[in-house]
Amino acid sequence: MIDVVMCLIVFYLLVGQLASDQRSDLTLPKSGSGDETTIAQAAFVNVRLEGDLLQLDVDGSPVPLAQLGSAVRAAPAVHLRADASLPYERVSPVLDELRNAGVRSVRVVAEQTMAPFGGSR
Amino acid sequence: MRRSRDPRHIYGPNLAPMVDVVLVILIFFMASIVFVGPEWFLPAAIPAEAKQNSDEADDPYALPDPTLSLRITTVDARPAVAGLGAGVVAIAEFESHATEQLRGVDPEAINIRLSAEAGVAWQHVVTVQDVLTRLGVRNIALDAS
Repeated sequence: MIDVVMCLIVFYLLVGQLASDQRSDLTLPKSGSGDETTIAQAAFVNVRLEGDLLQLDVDGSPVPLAQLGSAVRAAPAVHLRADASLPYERVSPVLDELRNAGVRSVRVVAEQTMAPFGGSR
Repeated sequence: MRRSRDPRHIYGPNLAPMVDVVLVILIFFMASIVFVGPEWFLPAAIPAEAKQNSDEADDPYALPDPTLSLRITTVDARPAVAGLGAGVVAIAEFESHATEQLRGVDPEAINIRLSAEAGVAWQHVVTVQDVLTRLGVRNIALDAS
């Protein structure tokens, strides 16, 4: 029993660590609809503002805007995780850079809002 | 057969407190994973830049672009949406307005291009995208220019 419980603890530690690597510390926009299907090996592009500087990272590794295209080129899909409070004119250069790299679509990451009675819409 | 409580028959450390602690740790990790929060994804295209000097642009017989351009703007410091029907509609009323405007239209046949003026928060863009997705619109693009 101890062995099994220890294995579970290690599992949750690893999953928690991986999840926090992909989810940088930002406030996601809220959405009442969306697709929960995940795509293996997809790149997570995190966009947030620190002071007046745009901070970008891909799967937790900081990347300058000019190198964003090469950082996501091998990924089968790009997930865009931008802070909800970011003005759109700070997000559009990221989209422009992705477009220049040949990315034709992104999956905008949003936080699920819960419908009444606890279900998600 | 009843086990003896004779200290001479107890071997090794007492594991009972360790099991308690380990179970508490396990419950903590399981709960924290749940609290990380559910995420989901809204697909959006990134359209290519419009061709300014192509022959197509000069063709007087070219069919009109089927893409509907919605622009998120600010009216009296409140976010609003322009481009769907007449006038500008506050984001809070956009869902009912869009439902009315898209009545009788196949939502999967519509292409919508979203743009926003300077200062509009990303949340408002996602809110409009969310409303359109719930109305069945599948072809939504985010303006990157």
